[in-house]
Amino acid sequence: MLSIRPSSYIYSSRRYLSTPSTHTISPNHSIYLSRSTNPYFNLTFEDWLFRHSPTEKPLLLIYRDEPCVVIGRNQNPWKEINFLALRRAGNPFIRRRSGGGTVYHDLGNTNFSIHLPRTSFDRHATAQIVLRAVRSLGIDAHINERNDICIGKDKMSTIFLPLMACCFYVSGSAYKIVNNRAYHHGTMLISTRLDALGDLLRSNKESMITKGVASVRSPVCNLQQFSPTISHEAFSDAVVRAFQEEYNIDQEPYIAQEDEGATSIEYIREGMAELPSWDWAYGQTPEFTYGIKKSFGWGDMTVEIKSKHGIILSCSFSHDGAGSSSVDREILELSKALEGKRYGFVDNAAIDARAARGRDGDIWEWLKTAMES
Amino acid sequence: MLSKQIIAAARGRGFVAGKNARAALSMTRGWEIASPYTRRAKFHSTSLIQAETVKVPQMAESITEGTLKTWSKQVGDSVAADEEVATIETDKIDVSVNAPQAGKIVELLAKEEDTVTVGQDLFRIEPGESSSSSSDPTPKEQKTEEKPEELSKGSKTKDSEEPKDQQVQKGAPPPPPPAKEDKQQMITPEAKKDKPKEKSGAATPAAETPKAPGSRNETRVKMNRMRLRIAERLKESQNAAASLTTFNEIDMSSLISLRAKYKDEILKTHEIKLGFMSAFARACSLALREIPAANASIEGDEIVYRDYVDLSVAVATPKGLVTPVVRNAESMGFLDIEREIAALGKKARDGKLTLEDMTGGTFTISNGGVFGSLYGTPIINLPQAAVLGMHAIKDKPVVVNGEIVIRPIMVVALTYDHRLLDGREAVTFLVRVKEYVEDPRKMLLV
Repeated sequence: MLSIRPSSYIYSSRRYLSTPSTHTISPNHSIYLSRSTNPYFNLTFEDWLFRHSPTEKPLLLIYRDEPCVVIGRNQNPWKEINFLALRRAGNPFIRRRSGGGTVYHDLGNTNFSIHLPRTSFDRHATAQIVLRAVRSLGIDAHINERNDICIGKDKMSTIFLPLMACCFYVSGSAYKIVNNRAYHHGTMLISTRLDALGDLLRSNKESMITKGVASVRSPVCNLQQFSPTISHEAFSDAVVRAFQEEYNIDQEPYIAQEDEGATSIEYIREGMAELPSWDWAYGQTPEFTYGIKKSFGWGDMTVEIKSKHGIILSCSFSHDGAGSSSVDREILELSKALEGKRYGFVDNAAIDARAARGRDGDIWEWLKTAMES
Repeated sequence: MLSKQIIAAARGRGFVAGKNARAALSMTRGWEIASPYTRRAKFHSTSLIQAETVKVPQMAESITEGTLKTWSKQVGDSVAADEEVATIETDKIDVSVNAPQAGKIVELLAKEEDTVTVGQDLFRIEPGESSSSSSDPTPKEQKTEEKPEELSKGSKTKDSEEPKDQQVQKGAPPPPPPAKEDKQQMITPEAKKDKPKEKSGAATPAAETPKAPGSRNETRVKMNRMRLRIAERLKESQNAAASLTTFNEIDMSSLISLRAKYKDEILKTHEIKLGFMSAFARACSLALREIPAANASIEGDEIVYRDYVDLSVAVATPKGLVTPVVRNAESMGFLDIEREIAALGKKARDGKLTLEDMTGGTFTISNGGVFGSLYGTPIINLPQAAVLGMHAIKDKPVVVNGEIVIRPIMVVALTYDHRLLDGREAVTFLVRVKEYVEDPRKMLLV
């Protein structure tokens, strides 16, 4: 059991490497700790390391992000995220490059990324490294069949944790394989704002049917609920130690900053610009259809919007209103106007001014709100 | 690498007259002979380039399939070596499928959102990019002459396994499939490099097709979980049971005519395809009634006899062999059995078989005949007592009533566990099955 001491002690017992900010950062270290909390930088840095570090060497990167939502490469952001809540919170969402589901990041969760040669990539083994780190901090966690780390609902632990009805996840993982390299990255919940997590990730679009990868929602909890002294530093240290033991590395961790040494690298600059771009963030969305209904004063309207790669392919209306042909005409124009536009980014100017008034105005308002939620 | 014959043929010479002699001479004296032709042959070689088919790569341990999520390139696009062409997602892994060499995409063999399996053909690429800055996919159709030294610098990839003198693509064994160098340069243009540095007798290294004589590439693939489990159970079966196999031949003419007579009607009325499996299943159930030991199993020091027959039917799926179980087959007729087998087969191919579907059979039937096998010894599916193996039906001359006639004959094999069944019982069982199948009417009499 780790003796309880302030994390700064653990910090100072370790030597760290870093280079003056004017020198370009090197991809040849084995362990990196990023001091940046900019999610665009961290994800891009991770990708740069992935593609430029020596193929045969295991590599570990640890970082934390400011509050944001991170979705998997092949997911549908509208399905996964409650955009109303996201805008309220003022947080961004980012599409990462690895597969898997949606996670919430803030300074209370620590992200780790283990890079290995493709041939020795074994998800269970890498999960074990993180599990050993967690256990070394005195927490009785275990791994389930999907290589997720959770606490509770073990036949044995139900004796000790009688209040635990089921397994609570403390970590989520995703993976990526390119050519001769593969990585396992994930997040460890230490003291995350679980209420924010719940809000932003609460699905409010049951009728959106998507070909994107679906997230599997699981109950989560923080490590701090089991050990109040756990911190980002303690966890980072434990992971670094477990990694060093597993791969017999005695290099000290290298501190990376979002400074000129890093941003002078073109790949990193370009990557940081690509992540927030519409083409990447929204344009990678697989096909989906969203069916919504609303009752207006004059009747019930149902709409089905089809979209692929973030563009509206078609928008079909049907209503049961004691219709005047003008409604039919107007919705026909509306559906034609919407075709080819970016889903969720259609502004009023793009729609014929006429549509903004009258009955159609109600319809358009409703659609716009639905697409942006 | 183009073979010398092809090069010579392209040149239109050296082949019509004294073809064999010339070719033989080329073979033995290597590039010395061929080089005058090869130097000019490069202008003809583009039409002889074959497109390469790229398959779905191994993804992670125990993963056998995934969903093709995006095509990053379309037909007609040029790609650089190692550039991403498609992404596949499976079980939280995003797998990038990269071009093995620079070239042009000629065909996409799957659609977005398709489920693809490891090893399945995914797309075709025509190697064609020859720029020395290989990261720049400028669509140059015709390769230009390049100095071999530029080439070795030009392959910007970190893969430096290939020895530098492979630039001189003479008879030296060509690089393994994901060749980082430009394959167009195989016909060495540089006169000064035209030395017969023949290392091996392989005078016709086919560099275009990756499998060339002389290539000594090894590929290590980790066994997936399914295969490991199958391996474990097979060995267990071999170790535990005292297995023996007895054979017999069945005259299928009666069953074949029954099927021919009724299959259309059944297809129309019940929408079921009538095959032979139902007949065998029924025959086995009846025979098992007579020889209950073949339906039994050993548990500890007890033999458990059952009055029901749960038939495991071996189905080949892309992931491997699975044996879903048809429960209470003894009370099912032909149509019910066929229906059930079809449903289970579909579930298996869709990957939706559950563990319960696959455990607990009391007898197994395996059909190796669909692949054309003549004889074979199936392996017992522990803890069962026996397994019936069906093989291919072949027309053979047999003696019936003193005359030689041609009949469709199927060899059947029964591998049985001698701890439970004696030779007499096993043979009797098989003979009963034979009798029932040879004259299906007998099944009505029991």
